[in-house]
Amino acid sequence: MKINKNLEGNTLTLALEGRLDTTTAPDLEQAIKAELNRVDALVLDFSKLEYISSAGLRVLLSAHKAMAQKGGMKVTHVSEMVMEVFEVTGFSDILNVE
Amino acid sequence: MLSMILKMSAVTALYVLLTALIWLRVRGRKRSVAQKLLIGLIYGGCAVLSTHFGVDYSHMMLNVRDLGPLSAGLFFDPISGILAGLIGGIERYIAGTYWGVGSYTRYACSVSTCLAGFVSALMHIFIFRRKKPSAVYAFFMGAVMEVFHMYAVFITHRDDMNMALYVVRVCAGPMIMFTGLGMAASSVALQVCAREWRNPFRRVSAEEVPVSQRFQFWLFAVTSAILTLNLLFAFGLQTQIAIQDARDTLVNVSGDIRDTYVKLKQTEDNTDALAGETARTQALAIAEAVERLGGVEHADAAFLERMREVYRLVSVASVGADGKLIQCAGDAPSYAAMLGDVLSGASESMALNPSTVRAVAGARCGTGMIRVVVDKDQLAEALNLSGLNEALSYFHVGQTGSFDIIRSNGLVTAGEHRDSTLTTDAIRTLAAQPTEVFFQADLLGTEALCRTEDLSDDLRLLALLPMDEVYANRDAQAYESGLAGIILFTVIYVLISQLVQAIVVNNLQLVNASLHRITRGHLDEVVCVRNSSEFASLSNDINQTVSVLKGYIAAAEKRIEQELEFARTIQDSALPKNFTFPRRDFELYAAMDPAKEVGGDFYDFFFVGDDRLALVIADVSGKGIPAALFMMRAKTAIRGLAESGREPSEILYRANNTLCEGNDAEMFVTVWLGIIDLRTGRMQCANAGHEYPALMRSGGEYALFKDRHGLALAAMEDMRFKGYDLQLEPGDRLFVYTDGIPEAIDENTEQYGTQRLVDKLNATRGEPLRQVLPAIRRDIADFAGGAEQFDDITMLGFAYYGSEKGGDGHEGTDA
Repeated sequence: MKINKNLEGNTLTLALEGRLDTTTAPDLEQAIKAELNRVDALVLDFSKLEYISSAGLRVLLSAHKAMAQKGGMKVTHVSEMVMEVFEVTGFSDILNVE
Repeated sequence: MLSMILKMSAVTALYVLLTALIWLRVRGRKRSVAQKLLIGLIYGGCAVLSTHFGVDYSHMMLNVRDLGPLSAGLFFDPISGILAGLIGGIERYIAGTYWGVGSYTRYACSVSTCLAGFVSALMHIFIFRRKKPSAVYAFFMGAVMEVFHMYAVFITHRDDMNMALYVVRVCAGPMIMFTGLGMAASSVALQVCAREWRNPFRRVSAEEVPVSQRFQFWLFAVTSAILTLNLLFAFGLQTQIAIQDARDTLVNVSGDIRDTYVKLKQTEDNTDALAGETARTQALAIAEAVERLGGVEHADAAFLERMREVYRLVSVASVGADGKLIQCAGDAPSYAAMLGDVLSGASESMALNPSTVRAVAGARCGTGMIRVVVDKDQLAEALNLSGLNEALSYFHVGQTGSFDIIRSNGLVTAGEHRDSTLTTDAIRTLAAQPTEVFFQADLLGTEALCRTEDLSDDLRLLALLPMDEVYANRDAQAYESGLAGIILFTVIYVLISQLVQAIVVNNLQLVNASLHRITRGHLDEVVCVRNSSEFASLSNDINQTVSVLKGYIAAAEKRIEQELEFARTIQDSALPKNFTFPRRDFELYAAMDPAKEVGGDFYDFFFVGDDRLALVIADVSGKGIPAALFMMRAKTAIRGLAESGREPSEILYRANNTLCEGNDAEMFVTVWLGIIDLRTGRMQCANAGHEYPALMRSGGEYALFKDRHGLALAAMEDMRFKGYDLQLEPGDRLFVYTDGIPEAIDENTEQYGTQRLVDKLNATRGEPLRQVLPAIRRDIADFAGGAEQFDDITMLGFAYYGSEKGGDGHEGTDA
């Protein structure tokens, strides 16, 4: 999986490319943790994300919780398949999906 | 001088500006061959302009022509550099040969300009590896190129070192400095343009300095020191030799002159006769002159005095026929008697040598007589010296030196400055110096090495050699060996630094690259740098360390593997395995097939009261021991809550809050929970983020049942779950599973998906669940092929037969 970072003002956009599963989720966790203190808002661009596993959902959940006290987290360009995962797991209810 | 500096600065600044402009224009783009040639042409043109618009300084035309090819080659492209060098060099030769522009240095200039192009091209490729050289390197490139230029002037004028020395003396300083500074300024300008400029005076920590740079610094320092010492030593030696040579020359010439002088002086013994004869001839000549005046009576004292001066006599006297003195110039000794024969007419004239110092002669003049007295010494001296002057004209002191024979009153009587008089300062200096000692003084207009020698009481021989000539050879040698030393030093420096790069730095980089791969987890990487004993030993040590490390890791892995195996066993044993029930109104079968790593899937089923059966399937996020532990927590919580008789939605609500407590690892678990009343077939369900169940109505086909979803447990506190009811009729089947099934992948990472699952379920719908589940597992395995199974594959099938089929099977209730 590739993570493309883009910091604009206080908004960090992470564009994910590939599969977000058990092996790659720690990378994303690391990337978010590293920037968490510096940013107010987090945008996750899922336009090139092919797959998300429960380990990936866990990272989204902790990021969501951490960002809830700040400017919030947004997930954008979610593919149908990923959206299905969000819906099945109920994450669509809590995540800010655009 | 100032005007020269200003003009040279302006020309150099133009070069820097041009380089910066061209660079900004072509930066970042890939340059086409045409562009490279164009850059070469532009810089070649600049070199030509430099040739024809040099800066006039001390009769020399200074230029920075070599900046053209150097800039083109170092900052742009090897092709551009070579082209610019050839254009500038060939044009320089043509201009020198046919148009008379600086023809003296045409070979040196054209060769060095051509060479500048090639050298810059080679340096660009092999030393700087197509990167911009730093300001220091750029300076040395420019300066050393000009040093070669100057050295070439020497080489091409071996037979005319003085002129070559003059050219180099005037040109070397400004041309080397300005070419070097021009290159350095261009380098800085480009770095600023590229925003790569860093303050060179910034303190850098030792960590930031590469080995090669530190080595190059010390190599530079040491070789410069050696070069300087060598030059100083050679210079000192040359100075000694030059002075010794000059002294030898002065001594030899003085000796020769003295010998000549002495030889001529020895002929003085023969001058008695000569003096008498001279006196007689002079007496005759004066007598003749007096006779023309009309006789001795007409010659007045003034006339005689003039005669005495002309012939440099001691005295001239006119004597009457009576033998009495008429007129006399000078002192009048009484030699009259001795000349009685002349007066008596016995002879026309006669000479006498009455004493060792004087000769006397008389000549008849009418009835009287003219009598002259000659100083023998003076005569001899006059005769000697006139001979001496002729003899001395064959002597010379070096090329520009001179010798003179000087009277104590400063009159130069012989030598190159004959008949001139020394200045009073010079006379004083000369008088103060002992003879036959060397001293340095400005006696005749130039600072010179001098030596005097007494020839007689009154005469002193002065031989001198101007300092310029004394040191001419030394200076030429110093310049030549200095220039050659710098070139040699540069070559050695470049070679050694390349050698170090090849022997040490490249090997270090190889070792580093291997270590980097090892730290990234490629433990099978073998460090193999074996071209020196140190690196071979280092490679061996690293390989050994890695292999020992690998052993430890393998042992640790094995231990973890074992622990995981235990965990897996414990987890597995926590799942109910008894699928035979003492009643016939339902059939139940479940399976969990863990992935390589222990996961967090689980299923569960248990009776809640007599006729209510709870079915659970769940998937904990993540893997490993944490997931397994969390799974146990979740399983216990759900079972405990369910057994207290609560509704599924309530169970999930409470279980969620329980699991949220102390969930620092931020794990979550998706759960589907159904509690069926086996008597009525009514199943109360709730879904916390779990996969959709597949439902088959009696006689129909399986289809996913898109039930109501809540959020996975342990994700957020106080989540409310909406339950729903399913009314199962006899013959209905329900199949729940974890995402390990739809997300199982084949070798092309295509997912198994729910459609294949539903299809397979339909294909096996008539078979007992005990066979259906393994069939699905096989189907998934066939689909996956060689792909690794990432996730646990867990499924639970339930078939409701109701009381119609199970009427006679109500063993449990009956019992």
